[in-house]
Amino acid sequence: MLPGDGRSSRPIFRRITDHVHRIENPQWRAMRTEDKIRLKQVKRLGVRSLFPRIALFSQKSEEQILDVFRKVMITLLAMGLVLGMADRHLVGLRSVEAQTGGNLAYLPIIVNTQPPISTTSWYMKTVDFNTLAVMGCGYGIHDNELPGIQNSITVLDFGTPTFDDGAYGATIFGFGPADTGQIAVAVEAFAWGYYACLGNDSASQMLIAVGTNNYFGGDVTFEHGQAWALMVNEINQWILDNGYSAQVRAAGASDMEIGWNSPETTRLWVNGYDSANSWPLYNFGDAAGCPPAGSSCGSSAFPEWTQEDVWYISWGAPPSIPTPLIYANSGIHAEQWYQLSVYSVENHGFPMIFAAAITQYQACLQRPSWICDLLDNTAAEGWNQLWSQLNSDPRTAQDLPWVTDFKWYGE
Amino acid sequence: MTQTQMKIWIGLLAAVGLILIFAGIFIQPLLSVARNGARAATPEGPSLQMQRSLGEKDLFAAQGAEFQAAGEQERAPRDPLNMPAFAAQASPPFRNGIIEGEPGPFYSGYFITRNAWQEQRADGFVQIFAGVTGQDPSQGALVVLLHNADRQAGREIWHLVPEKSGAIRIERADGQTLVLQSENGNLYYFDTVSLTLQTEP
Repeated sequence: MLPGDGRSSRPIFRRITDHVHRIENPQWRAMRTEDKIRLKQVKRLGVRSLFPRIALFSQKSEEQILDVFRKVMITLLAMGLVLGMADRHLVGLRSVEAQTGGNLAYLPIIVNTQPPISTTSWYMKTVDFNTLAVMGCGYGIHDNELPGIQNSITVLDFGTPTFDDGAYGATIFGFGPADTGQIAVAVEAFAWGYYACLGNDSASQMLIAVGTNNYFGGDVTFEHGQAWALMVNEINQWILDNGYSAQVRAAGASDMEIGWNSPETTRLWVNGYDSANSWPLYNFGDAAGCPPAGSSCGSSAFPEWTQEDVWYISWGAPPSIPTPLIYANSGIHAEQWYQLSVYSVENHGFPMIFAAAITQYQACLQRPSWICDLLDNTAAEGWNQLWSQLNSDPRTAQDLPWVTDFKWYGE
Repeated sequence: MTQTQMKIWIGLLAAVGLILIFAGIFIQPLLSVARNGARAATPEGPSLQMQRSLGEKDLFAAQGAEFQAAGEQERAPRDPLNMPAFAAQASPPFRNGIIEGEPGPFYSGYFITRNAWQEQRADGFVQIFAGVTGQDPSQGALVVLLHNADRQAGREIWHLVPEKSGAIRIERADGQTLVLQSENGNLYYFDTVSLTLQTEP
């Protein structure tokens, strides 16, 4: 080897420096002879002989050291696994995507993997503003009494779209129709009631989703969607003008179900909403027939639905945000929406971001029937089903901030 | 020296332990990041429709924040006893008879309405929805909803037609009897007072 070659000169250099170091090191000088001999033996064992080295220094057998080492490693591994699994239930760094943002953000956040406090949503049989004000006030009192800051959603479902005497509106489940002006006043009264009854809670927030549906017998048209968006704009302007907007706001909503209308008609309504909206549209409908229940989507009455259609009305259309009904005890609804989010990733380069899970447990309690036995997820069950499905796959993993459970007004 | 080296080994073990713990905590999200990153890095990226949609959703977020901030600036006083003056409006009229376009409060996987009949009575309201079960498109059914006068209570009563002859519709009302017809042409009769379903008039 050539002089100056690092590999040939290094051992000599190391021995010299070690020697100098030992002579100059008072600890070395004070070390007992047997320790010095042990250290030299260790040096000869080389760096790969970990356990003999520890055994020499600790004056225990190599087997004992190995045994301790195994126990320590198993303990640490178990801790790692436990903490790693706890990530799904307690805290951790998760990839999150801003719910309403167009950019991906990977932030270390505290993830609450327990269901949020559920709210009640309503099938409305009235647009009486006194009644709605009392209902809103009840929410305000409720949120004020709860510890901490509440951030919740409630859907006020006014039924099927109508066009009656030149005015757009909704059926309020056979007790109407009520026009959009009447519905707007009712929602404003609800918003006022919530704000007025919050007491000293100056931070909690309520989103009122003003709901209709896509039922084929109704006036599900582009113009109705447009009118619904204008109504929501008007409600929020009223909330803003009256100084309640720090804690309450409104949005559009529709129970768009596959068994109720064609994709063409439903898309038209959504596009109508999109043509005039300033606020989001929450779809609290279903995904009947969609995979894994079927190979595509669709119902016996409207078999032409595809995953693309459901994606569009729920997420692909600019105003749309999915808040699907997760009624089925079997978990099939959650599976269908998870598959739709995968579809969104694979076909549109971005997952669906769900805002809520919706259930009808209280409605089933109010009106028990044979079919409710299959469709009465509680709010916690619905939320857990959807959250678990979405978070079983990193492509669709997300937080799920809201859950709300339907019941009948007044019952 | 002995202690020093032991400390080194303990330190190494602790480091390995920490690595394992952090791996346990972060491995899944890191994988997620990696996979999402891979997705984001695909040449296609979000589709044009998705980009347009996400752009508007961004605007919602910004607008929501502005809306809230404006409310913080000018908060209304909280006074539950001082409701704003809403314009008085008449309650929508209740329509008696056969109605179209009202699905009722039923999830379509539960019941799909074809049409309905309803009536206001002295003691409340009765609504009868004719259609088909959401589970079986051949099984026609009627669902009766009863409400008291102030709409504060309800009952739900189901009637399945005897034959699986498809969805049923209310064709007409003969006095207190509703005449129903299934998709296959079968006729049924429903007494709106006794709330019973019959196959003969």
